[in-house]
Amino acid sequence: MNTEWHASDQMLIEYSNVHCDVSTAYSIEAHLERCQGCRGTLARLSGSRPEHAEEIWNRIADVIDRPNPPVLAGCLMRLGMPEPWALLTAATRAMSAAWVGLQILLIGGAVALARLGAGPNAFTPFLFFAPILPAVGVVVAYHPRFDPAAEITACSPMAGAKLGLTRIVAVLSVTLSLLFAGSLIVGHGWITLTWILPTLAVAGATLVVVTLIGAEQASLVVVVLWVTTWFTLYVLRSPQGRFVNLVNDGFLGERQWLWAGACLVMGAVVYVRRDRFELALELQRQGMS
Amino acid sequence: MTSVKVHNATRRFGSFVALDDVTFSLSAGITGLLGPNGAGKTTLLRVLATVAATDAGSIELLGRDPRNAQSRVDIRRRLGYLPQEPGFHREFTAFEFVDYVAILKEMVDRKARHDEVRRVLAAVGLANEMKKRIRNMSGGMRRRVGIAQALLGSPELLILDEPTAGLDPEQRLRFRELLTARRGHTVVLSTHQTDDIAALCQRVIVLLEGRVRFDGTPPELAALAHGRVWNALERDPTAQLAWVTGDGMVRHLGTPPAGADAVPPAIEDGYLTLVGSLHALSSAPEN
Repeated sequence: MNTEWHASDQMLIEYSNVHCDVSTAYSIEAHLERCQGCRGTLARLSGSRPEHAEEIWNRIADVIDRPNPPVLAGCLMRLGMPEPWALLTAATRAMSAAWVGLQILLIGGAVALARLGAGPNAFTPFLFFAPILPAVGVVVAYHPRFDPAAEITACSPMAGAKLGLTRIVAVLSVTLSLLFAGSLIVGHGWITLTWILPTLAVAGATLVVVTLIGAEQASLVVVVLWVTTWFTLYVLRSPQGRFVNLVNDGFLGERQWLWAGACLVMGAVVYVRRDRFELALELQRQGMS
Repeated sequence: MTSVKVHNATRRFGSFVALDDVTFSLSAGITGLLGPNGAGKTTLLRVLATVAATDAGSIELLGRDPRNAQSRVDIRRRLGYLPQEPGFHREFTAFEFVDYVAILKEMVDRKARHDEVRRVLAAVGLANEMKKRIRNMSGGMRRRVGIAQALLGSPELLILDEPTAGLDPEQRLRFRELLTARRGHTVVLSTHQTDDIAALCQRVIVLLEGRVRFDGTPPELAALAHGRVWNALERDPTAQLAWVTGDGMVRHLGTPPAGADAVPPAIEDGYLTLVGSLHALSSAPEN
C-alpha cells in the first residue's frame, strides 16, 4: 500500500535509539506497519550499527532464557524487595514448605487448645510456647546443616552479618506472622498479643548466644533456659498456686516494660556482635571445617 | 607478585594435627597439592578459601590478612573456590544455582550477572544443560557446575579441591584447556591424578601428615625417583612396588638390582618414592 508521507532517516534513527517522543514513536510504528520501504530503511539503518542490534538481541535473549523466579521470590519482588535479595531469601531453608508447615501445625495446635479451653487461662499455653518457635527457627535459618551449599556460601563476600541476619530476619518474619495470625484467631483482645515482646526478647537472646556458641547449641540452651526458668520461678514463688497464673503474671501489665527493655538490650548486643554472624565462623563452631 | 603466603600455619582438630607448621608462598601460576587421604590438603584449601582458620601461624591472601573481617570480604571478592563436596540446592537448575552463587558474589545487575552465568556454564561445557535440574545431573555434570561457580567473576585466586574427580577424559582435557587459559592468576588445586599435575602445574607441593614434604616443580618431584625405576620381565620381590604395564613388562620402583636398566621416572614414581621413604622413616625403630 502506498502512502504519501514517509519517515525521514533522521526520524528512524531517533526512533531506533528510543530518542523520539511517545506520540512520534506511535506514528512511526503505525506507518511502519503499512510501509515496506520505511521498514527496509529502518532495517538498513539499524543494520549499519551491528553493536546496537547485538545489544537488543542480548537483552531479548536474556529475557527469553532467564528462568522464572521461584514463586516465593516472585512474591517478594512484587512486594518491592530487590531481585537479588528476593532470590537469596527464597533459597533459605527457613522458608521451605516443611518448616513453615511444621510451624503452622504447632501454632494451629496451640490455637485449637486455646479455642477449645474454657476461661481466660486457655490462652496461656500459647503465651508459654510462642517464644520457643523463633528460638528453634534460628537454627533452621542459620545452621550450615540446613544450607546444602554452606561451604560455597561461606567463602562468598555476602557470607557475613548481611546474609546471616537476612536469613534470620526471614525466618523470624514468617514465625511472627504465623503467631500473630494465630493470636487473632484465638481472640481474647489485646492480651493475646502479649507474646510479642517476650518472643522478640527470647529471639534476641538466642542470637546473642549464637555469637558465643553457635546456632544449634544456642537454640538448645535458650529453650532449656526458658522452660527451666519458669518452672524454677514456680517452685520458688508459688508452689501452691497455679502455673498458668505465674505465666500470665510474667506476660501481662508492667512486665511488658521489662520485656521491652530486654528487647532493646538484646538488639544492642546483636548489633555490637554482628561480625560474629559470619557463616564461616558458624562452620567452625559446628566443627564442619 | 606473591598472592598467597602461609607461614608456620597449624590447625588441630582435637588431638589430630591436620596442618603442622606449614610454610610456603605462591605467585601467579598453577600449583598442585598432592598427598594421601588425610594428609591435610582439604584443610589447607579451606584455610586458603577463608572458610577455616588456623590455630597458629599467619596467612596472607592477595596481600590481605584473612583474620580481619573487612579484609576477609575483600579477599572473597577476588576468590573462587570449589570445595571437595560442594553441596547443591538440588531442586535448582544449573543456571539458577550458579546465578544464586553470583548473587552471593555481589553481582547485583541482573543482565550482567546472567551474562556471566552463561559464560562460565559454557566454559565448562554446560551451555545446553543450563535448564537441567541439579538433582537430575550425573556426578561429573555436578562437578562441572561446581567448577563453573568457582570461575564466576574470573577470580584472581582460584582454589579447587579435586576438580577433576568424576570428569570423563574429554572433560578433563577441556578443564585443562580452561585452566591454562587463565594467565596471570593464581590457581591451587588438589588432586590424586598425577597426570593432571604433570599436564597443568608449574609447581607441586606434597603434604603428608599435615606437613609440607616437598615443594618444587613436577620434574623435580619425578627426579626423586631417578635411578629407582626399572622394567623387567619378572616381578622382583625386593622392589618397593611393582606392577604389570600394558606392554606386559613389570615396572618396578625401589632399589634396582645389579644390571637392571633404569627408565625415566614419572611424577607418580617420585611421589611414591617420597611417600614410601617417609613412611619407612616414620616406622623405623628408634636407636
